Amino acid sequence: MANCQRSRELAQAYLEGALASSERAAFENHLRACPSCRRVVAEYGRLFSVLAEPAIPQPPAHLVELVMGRVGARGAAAQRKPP
Amino acid sequence: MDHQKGSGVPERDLPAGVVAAAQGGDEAAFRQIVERFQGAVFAIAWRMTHDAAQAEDLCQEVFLRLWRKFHTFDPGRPLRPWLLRLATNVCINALKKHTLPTSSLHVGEDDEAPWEPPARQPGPARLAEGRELAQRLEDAIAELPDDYRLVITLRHLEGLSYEEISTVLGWPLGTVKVRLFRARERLRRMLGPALGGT
Repeated sequence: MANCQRSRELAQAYLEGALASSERAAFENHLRACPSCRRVVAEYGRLFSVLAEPAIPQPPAHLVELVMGRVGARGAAAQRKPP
Repeated sequence: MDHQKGSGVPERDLPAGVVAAAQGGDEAAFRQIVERFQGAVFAIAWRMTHDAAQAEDLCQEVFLRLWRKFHTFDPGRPLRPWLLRLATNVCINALKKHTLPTSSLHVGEDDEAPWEPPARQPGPARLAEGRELAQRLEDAIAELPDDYRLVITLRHLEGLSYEEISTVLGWPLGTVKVRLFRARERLRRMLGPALGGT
């Protein structure tokens, strides 16, 4: 595909299922003939799958208690205020 | 270390009665909200800091603000996007105050500068499957401008649609699409051979 930017846009939309059926068919026809675009689609596909399984840690186990402790402290302080 | 699962299955909103009770000051109901959404909020904070302690502090700030500002929430609307918007605002404000390390706070519409690969590119042999690639991805995301990190996180981790991201971040829909495209393209180029290309 002559326009690299357009081919990358199409590759992302293709993998998200955002192409109309006619666009999708045309892009798939192009992919059969273009190793470069096939490689880009494969790389985006791998990227999308890794993005869905990120290495982000779980929140600390004590987070809820920390938040609720501060919420409770605020409530108690508000109650102590004179009307 | 346990890691969070990715997007596609975002947490559902809690029953309206729980949200209404929390709005009315019921701490037990509010606890349910914290328990349900702590993962989503922590993920955003972690992505913006890549530091567990700072992410924890930001999480606490988000939920305390939620507690204080709950009266401004329209109970006729879903809580999750509203809370994610609050979380992104807390993170962005912290970055603006330079209390957190940041790359660049804003990405211009004319951000067309060519990306240059880092000087130290690990070879394909080091880039094993699974967790190691996921960790490489996090390292790459940490190098992205803040706006790109946000849009990648909201789309691929929180599972928001383009329209929802537009609402949460207050960006026009076209801006969401352009920044998401550019963020993904940068990540593809940064990770290069690790993604299986030749």
